[in-house]
Amino acid sequence: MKAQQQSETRRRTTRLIGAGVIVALLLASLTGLFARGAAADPTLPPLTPTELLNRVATAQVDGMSATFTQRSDLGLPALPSGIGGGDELQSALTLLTGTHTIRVWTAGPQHSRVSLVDDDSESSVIRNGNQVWTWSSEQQKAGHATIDAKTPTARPTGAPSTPAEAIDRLLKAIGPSTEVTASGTGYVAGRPVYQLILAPKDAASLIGQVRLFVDATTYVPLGLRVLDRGGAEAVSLLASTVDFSVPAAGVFEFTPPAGVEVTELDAKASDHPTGTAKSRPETKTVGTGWTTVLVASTGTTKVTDATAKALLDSLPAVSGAWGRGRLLSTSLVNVVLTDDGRVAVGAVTEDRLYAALAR
Amino acid sequence: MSAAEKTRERRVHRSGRLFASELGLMCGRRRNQVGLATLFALVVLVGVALKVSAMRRPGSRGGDLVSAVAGNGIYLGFAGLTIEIALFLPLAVSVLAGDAVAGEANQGTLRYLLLAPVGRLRLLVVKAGALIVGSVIGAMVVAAGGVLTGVVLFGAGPLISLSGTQLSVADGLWRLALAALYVATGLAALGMIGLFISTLTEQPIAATVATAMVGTLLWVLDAVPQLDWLHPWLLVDRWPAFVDLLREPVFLDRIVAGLGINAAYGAVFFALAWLRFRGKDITS
Amino acid sequence: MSLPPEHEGSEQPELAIASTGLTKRFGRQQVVDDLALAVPSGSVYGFIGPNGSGKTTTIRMLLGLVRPDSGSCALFGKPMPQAAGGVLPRVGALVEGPAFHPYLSGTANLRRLDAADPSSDSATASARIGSALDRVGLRAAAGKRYRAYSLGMRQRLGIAAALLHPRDLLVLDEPTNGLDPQGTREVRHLVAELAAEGTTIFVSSHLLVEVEQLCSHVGVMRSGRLLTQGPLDELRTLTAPRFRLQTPDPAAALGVLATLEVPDAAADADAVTGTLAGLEPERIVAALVAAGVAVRSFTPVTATLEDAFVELTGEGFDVSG
Repeated sequence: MKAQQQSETRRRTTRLIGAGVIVALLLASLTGLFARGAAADPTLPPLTPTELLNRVATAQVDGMSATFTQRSDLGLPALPSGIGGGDELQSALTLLTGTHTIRVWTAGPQHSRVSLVDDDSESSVIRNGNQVWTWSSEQQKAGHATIDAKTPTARPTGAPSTPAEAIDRLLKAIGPSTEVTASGTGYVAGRPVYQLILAPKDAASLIGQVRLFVDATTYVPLGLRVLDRGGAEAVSLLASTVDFSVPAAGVFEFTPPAGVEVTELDAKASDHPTGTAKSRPETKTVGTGWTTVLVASTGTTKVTDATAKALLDSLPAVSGAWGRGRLLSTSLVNVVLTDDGRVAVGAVTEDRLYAALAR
Repeated sequence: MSAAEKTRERRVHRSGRLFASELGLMCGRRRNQVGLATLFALVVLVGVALKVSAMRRPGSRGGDLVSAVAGNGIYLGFAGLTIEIALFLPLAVSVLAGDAVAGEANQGTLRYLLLAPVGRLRLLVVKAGALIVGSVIGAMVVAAGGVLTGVVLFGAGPLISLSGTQLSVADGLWRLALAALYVATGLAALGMIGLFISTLTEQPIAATVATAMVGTLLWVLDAVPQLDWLHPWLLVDRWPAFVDLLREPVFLDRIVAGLGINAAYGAVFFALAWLRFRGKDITS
Repeated sequence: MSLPPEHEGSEQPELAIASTGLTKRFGRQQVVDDLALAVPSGSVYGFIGPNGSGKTTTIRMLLGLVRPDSGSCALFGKPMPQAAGGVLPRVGALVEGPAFHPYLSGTANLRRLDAADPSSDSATASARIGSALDRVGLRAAAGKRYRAYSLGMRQRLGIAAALLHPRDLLVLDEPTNGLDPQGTREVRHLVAELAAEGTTIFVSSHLLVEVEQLCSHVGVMRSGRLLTQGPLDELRTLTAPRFRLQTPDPAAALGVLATLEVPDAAADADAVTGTLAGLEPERIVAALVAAGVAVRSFTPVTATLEDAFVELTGEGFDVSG
């Protein structure tokens, strides 16, 4: 009888262990789906930061299809939906919050496409030779521009800026105000990458450091992370999939579908996909490099929209020798909106903004 | 053919007989037919509402799938999936899943099935299979019902993809069918959660309510921005990714991740159901 | 009237049902306690006990629906529930009343159960379902929805389901529940017929009448324990007729009875009692008279099976049903 009970207990224990193993295996397969990057860092031939930056600058690929994920956590308050300010403000704000997916295709400098993939909409900028198209599925609007054939090599303002190109520009801008260090290796989108750390030397910068991930084979940047002074990640842009084969030509072809409104874009001012060529406010920049401050004069002192006014009033009031205004403070960017209609923006401490406004 | 092969063929054939019986029971049940009709009626209702508002304010057209219906009825298939994916389709699957084991237990038919004897694993596999078929039927009825209603009310034509390219009617319908199948995989995964819950109780209503609540809870959690670290792990997070089939080229990253999540949830909860059911004392 | 020695079950293929140390507890309640059943092949085994004595739980354990806490059971020498897939096709069962899908007809319900049995052939399903329905007299109501069936018809459909195949063992839990007297008679007739064909029948009941009329063997349950089991004839000897003797000389009478080897002769204030034990009353009286013992009266007392069970279980059975 006792032996029987013991064998029964043993049987139950075995069954329980079996159950545990099955559940553990399934959970492991579940996590495995998402945490493939758990492998050890790859061993790559060592490169000095300068060597690496040079290779990035001269990197050339015939074509590429990639998906990037952009995350922003600027410590902005969650904005109520339907806030005043129109579509442009709305779309500008959405990029500053949450997670976004960006699909990128390139085939040489003449062909590129960047599509911002949102839950149930998509906006794209497509360059196909000298033709540039913009598309917004939400507004069902397309824009078109033709690039001047005389300067085919120059980068046209209307051309889309792929994340890789954006990183490229960043590298050109860093200059002597930056401390560059190599920081080992890792994986992005399953590919071995070098890691570079770019840290602003100016203590007034809100940016603590930028970590840049460079593909070890092609030297194409595959992503970056921007950390604030406290070391918290404020913005990241990382490739989730990359394919360096030349995409099909059809990817760069765009024919506006029937019934879609097409706007002819001013090629000089078409940096925005929506292509609205409003008269731009008068702007000037103060400072250089990481701590550049942009001061704009909006020319208007009145905020008409009730919601926007309420939002503005909720910001802390600040004042100084430069005047009075409100401060919008995030972990990475500070904005001062003065009562006399000026706006100062920069990735700098608010004191630096006040100094710029006082000029 | 060896004797073993013959035996295996016969066994497959006989499992097929039970599976056919299960499908017949599911489809023949008046309540399920009414549920399916409700799913269909909801799409019709949305179609009619859109028609009325289109007649009141002609020419206005937004970029989202629902407002696109006014220009092309085929979009109502996609819009129907969008509208019913959060509540009605999960509810329908919850009803089927809650009934799966608990319904038989409650009726007492479970003991006679087991004495027939249908092995416990075989019974669970057949029930899971029926839930998968039910999920496909539910999603397909919404998609097909949407197209049917939409085409009658608004007419059909080539679709405009989210990327701004033109898709032929055939291409659009093909993508809609794939979208419905993708949605069905998610519903089936929820069905496996329901199957597990159904093995915990002898009250089918309780199992249905619990499953529907799990589905709703997942959507609520998925909508809380503070929990964004959790979102990729939630079953429902990538369900709406079926719209990625409307991009050109088709964007598969989220759909593949969604299929992975659906499969993982389905497998985990089927395994839990099996662990629970294999040694369960059938006292009903 | 002996319990089978332990471990006998799996080694004796002639036992249709065998269990050793079968124990089940639901929560704190000990429902079945150390049960050792031995049901010989070909027997009609009456499993009787008051309501709540653990009969149905025992049946569920025998059929693999409920896992015993300890102990083991076997059907035809194959351990349950491990061998359920191989053994259960040979077993027809009616457990705790019939249960079917209310919206399906009788035929459709049987077809579903037949589909669930991997050993059954779909080609012969219609014929087998038809003959099972015939056998319980339900052919006329075969197309009606189950929910429209009367209690008796439901019970018959349950029996029909147990008869979808020729079975080696039928387990019938309270098969006459809800049946009218006519139906009860029919079921008894059916059981007798099946038993005559060689099917082992294990029938549980709280009705003594059924057992007395149908069974060759009985097992008696009370509070989860098997009080006794064995052939019915053997049980009857337990309740063999006794006698009551009135005599002025009890001591002399006991002496005579001792020479006759009456097993349990005893004297009280005004009478001597004992078990007849195969002795004819007239022989006892003749011996007493021959020995000079005065006999005032000699009364054979015939105890019923009922009395025996009341004695065993400490409570009565619901004889009237």
